[in-house]
Amino acid sequence: MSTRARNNINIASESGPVVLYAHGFGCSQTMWSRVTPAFAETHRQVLFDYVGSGQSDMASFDPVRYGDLHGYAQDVLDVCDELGLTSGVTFVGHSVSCSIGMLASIARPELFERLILVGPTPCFLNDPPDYLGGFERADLEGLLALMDQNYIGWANYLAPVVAGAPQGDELAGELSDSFCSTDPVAAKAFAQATFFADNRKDLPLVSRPCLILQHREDTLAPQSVGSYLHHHLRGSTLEVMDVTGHCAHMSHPNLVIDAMRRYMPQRPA
Amino acid sequence: MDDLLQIPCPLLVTDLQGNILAANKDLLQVVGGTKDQWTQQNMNALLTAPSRIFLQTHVWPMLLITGNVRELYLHLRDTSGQPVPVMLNGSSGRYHDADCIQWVFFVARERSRFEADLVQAREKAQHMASDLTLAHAFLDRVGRIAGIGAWRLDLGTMTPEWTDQTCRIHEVPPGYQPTLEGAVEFYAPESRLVIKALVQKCIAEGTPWDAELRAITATGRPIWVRTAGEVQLAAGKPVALVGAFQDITERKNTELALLQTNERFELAADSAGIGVWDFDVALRTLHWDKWMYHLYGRSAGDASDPLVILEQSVHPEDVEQSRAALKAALADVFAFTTEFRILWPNGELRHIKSVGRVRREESGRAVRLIGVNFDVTAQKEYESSLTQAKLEADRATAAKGQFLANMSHEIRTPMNAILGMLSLLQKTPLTTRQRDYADKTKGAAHSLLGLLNDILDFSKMDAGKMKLDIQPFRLDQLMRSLSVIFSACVGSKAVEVLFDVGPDIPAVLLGDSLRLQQVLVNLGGNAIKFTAAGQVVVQLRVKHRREHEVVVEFAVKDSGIGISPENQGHIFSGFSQAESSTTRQFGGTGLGLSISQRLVELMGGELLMESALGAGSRFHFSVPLAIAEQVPVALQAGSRPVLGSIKVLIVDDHPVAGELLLQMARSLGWDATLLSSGSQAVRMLRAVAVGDAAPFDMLFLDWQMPGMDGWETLRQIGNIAPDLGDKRPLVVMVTANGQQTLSLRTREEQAQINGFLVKPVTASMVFDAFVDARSAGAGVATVDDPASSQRRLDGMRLLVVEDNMVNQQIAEELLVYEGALVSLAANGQLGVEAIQAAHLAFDAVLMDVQMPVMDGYTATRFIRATLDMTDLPVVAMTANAMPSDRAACLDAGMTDFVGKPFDLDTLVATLRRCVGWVEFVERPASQSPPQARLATKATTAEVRYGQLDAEAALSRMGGSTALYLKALKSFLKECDSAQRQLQHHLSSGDNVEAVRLMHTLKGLAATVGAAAFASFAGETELTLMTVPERDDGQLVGGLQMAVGLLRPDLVAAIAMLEAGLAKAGTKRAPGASAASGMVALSKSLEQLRALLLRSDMGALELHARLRLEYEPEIGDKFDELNSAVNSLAFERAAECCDVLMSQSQG
Repeated sequence: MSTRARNNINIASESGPVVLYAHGFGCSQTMWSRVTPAFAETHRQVLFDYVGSGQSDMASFDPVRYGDLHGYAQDVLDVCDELGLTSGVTFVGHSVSCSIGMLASIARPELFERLILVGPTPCFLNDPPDYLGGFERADLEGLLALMDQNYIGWANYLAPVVAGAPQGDELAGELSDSFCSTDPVAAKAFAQATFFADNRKDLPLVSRPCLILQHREDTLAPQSVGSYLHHHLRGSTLEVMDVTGHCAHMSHPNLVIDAMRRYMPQRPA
Repeated sequence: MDDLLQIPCPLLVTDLQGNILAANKDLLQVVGGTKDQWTQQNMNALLTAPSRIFLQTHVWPMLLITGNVRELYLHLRDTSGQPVPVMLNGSSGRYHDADCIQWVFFVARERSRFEADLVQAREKAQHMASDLTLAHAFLDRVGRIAGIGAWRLDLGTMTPEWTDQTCRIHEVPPGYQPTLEGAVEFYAPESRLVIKALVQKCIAEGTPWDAELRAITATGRPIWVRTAGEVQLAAGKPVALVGAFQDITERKNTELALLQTNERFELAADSAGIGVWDFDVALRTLHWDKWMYHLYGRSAGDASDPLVILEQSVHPEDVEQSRAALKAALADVFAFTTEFRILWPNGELRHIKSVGRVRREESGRAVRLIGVNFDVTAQKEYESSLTQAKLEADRATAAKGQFLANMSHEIRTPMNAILGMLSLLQKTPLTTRQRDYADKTKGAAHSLLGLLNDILDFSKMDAGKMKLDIQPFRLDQLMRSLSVIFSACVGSKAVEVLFDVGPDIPAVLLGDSLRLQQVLVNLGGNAIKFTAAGQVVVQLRVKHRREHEVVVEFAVKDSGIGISPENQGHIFSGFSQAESSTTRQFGGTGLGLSISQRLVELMGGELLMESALGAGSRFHFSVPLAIAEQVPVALQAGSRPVLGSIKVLIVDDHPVAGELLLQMARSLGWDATLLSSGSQAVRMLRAVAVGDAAPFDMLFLDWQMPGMDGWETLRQIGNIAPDLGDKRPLVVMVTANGQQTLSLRTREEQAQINGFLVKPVTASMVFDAFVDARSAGAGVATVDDPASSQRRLDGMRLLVVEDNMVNQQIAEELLVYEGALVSLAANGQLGVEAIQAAHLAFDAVLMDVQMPVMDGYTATRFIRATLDMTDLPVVAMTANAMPSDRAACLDAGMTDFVGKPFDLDTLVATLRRCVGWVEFVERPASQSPPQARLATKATTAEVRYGQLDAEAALSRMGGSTALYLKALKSFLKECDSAQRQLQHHLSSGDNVEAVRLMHTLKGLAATVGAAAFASFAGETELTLMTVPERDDGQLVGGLQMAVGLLRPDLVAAIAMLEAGLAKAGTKRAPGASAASGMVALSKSLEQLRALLLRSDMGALELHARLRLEYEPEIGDKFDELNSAVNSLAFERAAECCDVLMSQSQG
């Protein structure tokens, strides 16, 4: 199985400096669909799904490898290798992919030109008094239970709908396309890797310039987390978007596009 | 849109970022607060923390992309902050001209989603008037999503009304309106009465229902449905029944199937006490059934996390192994089994067996482990009790074996005394009847001793202590020994014992010849015993030949009574003969075969048999024997002298015996002719006499032949002797019976033969008989030529290099006694100096191996290399009997070696051989000059002193009690200081000295016959040399104990020997003055002188006694007398007596 198929690599546009988009937990590369058109003429844009998410090859899922963010970081590197990328990559990550991108850049700094981090957090858990990630361990366990309930619900729900009602096809298609993590085992592994990760100690090791795109009201990544990152990431730029939520690239794609444009050097005319 | 907010279920409108725009009162009822209060906030605030995460990571992305979400489970926070499970739908819409998301919540507090729908249905009905269309459409949409239909029965018209979903479930087109009867008809017959009763009761009493019933759709498909209904009141009066309707066929079938499976499984698991567990690999969660808790000693109500219980329970020593088993299962296999111990909370230890299977996805990824546990404590305890029982049984067997060994040993000691005493008794004047009694008693005692030896061997083997002593040996010597023994067994029986030895068997082999002999003696002995008349053939053949070894098949075939097939099975087991009647007829323990079998097994073979009743038996075995590559000098036979062309005539009526003899003769290169009767022989010799046939050098004549026997033949040959003249062949009489019958023939008859051979014979015996007969001429020598019995080392110049004073003394005295001129050196360095300084070169050097200053190896290398004395024979004296030690001796350039304690005859033979004084055939030990042995055996030597084998020791010392006494005393002294010395050497770290000390003790112990102590000392020596981390305290303690055990025997032996010597001092009373002893000596000397002058052989016996009695006191003065008597120079001896008498009187 090639990495191309395994990670469902898609090239959104062909020419220009490379921008590599990495989706967050709970979704797939689809989440970048409102950003990529803006760079279609100027950049070579690469999209992929982590193994276990979206349209990736589920058979390649290895609970050991993907029990830890390093496994996902290896996916990023594998994608680059598959495409023969050796340098100049702008990494755009959302949420947990910010941490994943940082790990990848620590492993292969020469590969990345810069990192653009949408809603990053190095650690979701509170570690009082110095760090407030926003959540307690019990919350994340509650999340796992919730995922269970929903995934099983979806599975039960989708089957009769698809079977019974012709008009349900569209709906089912939408669901399975967007609901990226229909594999409960892989999703749970990703959830655990995501929410139990603590990458604070890795921050000083990041040598590439980072743009932190912080949501003004983000229940998953509070502003204090953005400040923390800014403080600990050498040469980072912090930009707070006037957005409530965790998915500015979807709810307010223009804000993200503008910030990216500002941060990436303009191609000489 | 605001109208929509009137819909009676919790509704919420937010913007695209989740900021609350509107909330209806149903929602506010759940979450509390006011609409205004909430509109300031984000919907996150309505949710629990996990739900917020889920909203952000799953719901928003989906919503933003697809515009709607369906049937999500989330938790709202109620007024008190408690989570309220809700089902949630969201879809994008417009609110006050802006994009919005409309959220519908289905609150499902404690009850099911179904009931939430029921509430919806009821409220739908209540609000039908105002918002019917919208609500109906909404309800149907909800119903479609959830697969739930609704219905209403107007009690006024008694007309049912179905929603589209209800129609779908019945498989009728949407909008179908059934009659009441028709609606009921959809139920399965047995369910119709039930639904009717429920409806009636609801109308009459207002009781709601909720039932699962069977129905049949319009297409005839049987389904399960859940139906629920209740009364709708208007102004306090029932106006309608409303209810929900759901297809639950799939769930029901699954449930039923599950129920059945579960019931079966639970029944099986519960009745077998099996606990079931289920491990989710990804989540690392473990689920247990109630039996699992039970198995781990937890109470019925315990709901602790099984992982925690496991952690607390599994025995610490078994944790690693269980983890490894789990890991291996996850990595490689689909099933696994492991056993481990657990500790119950009350401390009880249980053994658990865990068997599991790994569930994998198609990708091979392990998803689940499911398995069972069961308690195998009882089984384990049973196993361990079995193991224990076996252990105890083994111990008991070992103890029995040890007991047998000890008892045999203990009984042997007095048996030796009994036999000795009987021998003495037989030498006294007895009446015929007394002699008969004594003979029979001695016979009985001998068989008892044989029995004890058997038991000793048997128990040794039982205890696994039997070890083979692999040494080079000559096969022909082995066969000669067998020949002697077998011929004695045959006695006067009409049984021919024949040897058939393959000519291609190497002359010198490596093996335990004594044990091999034991097996062959046993097999041959049995064969002779069970053969009343006929033949016993011992056959040796090379079965395979490899580069360094041959596999030799030994077979003993008899023409005896045979063994029936049913008895063949157990004759090899100990204590049994083929039949108990056999025991009565033939006697014996039945141990012999069992011992033989085990010995053969030790040698790497298997003892097998073929037999049939009345047709004889054939026992055979094949063992690998290495071909000796370095043949010690002692075993090197000089090449046989070439005898030129020899022509012999063999006369034997027995076809096999004759054929074998013929082959032996031919194997010697002789021209042999076989005839089967005496008359043929006489005819043949007549032909020779007249020149019709070539003359024969020798005639091998069988004694026992039918008709004309050997003697008659001889007589008739005598008749034609004049005609034959010098063509008369030499005659060797061959007999299957013992030589004693020879004495019954007349002197004239005896003079007719030139040699005598007792069957079974070997080729070398035939050869020797030929040579002897040729050289001896007529007449069979019955007494050794005195000239050949002289001191065997007369004039040999010997250097003995030996650091131990006692060994020096023993070696010197024995060698001097044999006539050698002995010089002594106390170590290798002094030895080398003595060799350099010698005016007359030594003929040979006897070299101890381990010595201080310079050891034997170094000294020998020095002699060979630096002194360039390559021809000087150097004979090693080593107490280390291991083949590797012997190889080391040869490597160092030594010519040969003798073991310590050394056997006098072996020592003499070895020295003679090395120096080149070689007889062609080695004189058997029994033929050594009688006067070379002191006749002390009958009085002292057959007695063992506890651990001390005095007999063996004395025989090694040429029977000198005085010498033995010296050795014992010296050894006792060594023993007494040994512990202190060892302690000293060890504490000062002088390992070399400690090793030397133990080596010396080993040698001395072996010299005095303390075999057990010698082997102890040897082991300690080895430990000191090879084990750096030994417990020194234990070694010293062990030595102390060994000395403690031996010391009483040493003291007793010394006391008894001294008493014996004193008592043997004939008339000398204890404590009598030396003068009175001298008087007694004078008288004895006078007697001796008289005997000597009469050339009476009784002089030899008296001389021996005198020597025993007086030598300790006046040893030196006896030297001349000894020398004279030993050389049978009786006149000179008589003169010595005169001198001694004058001295003792003076």
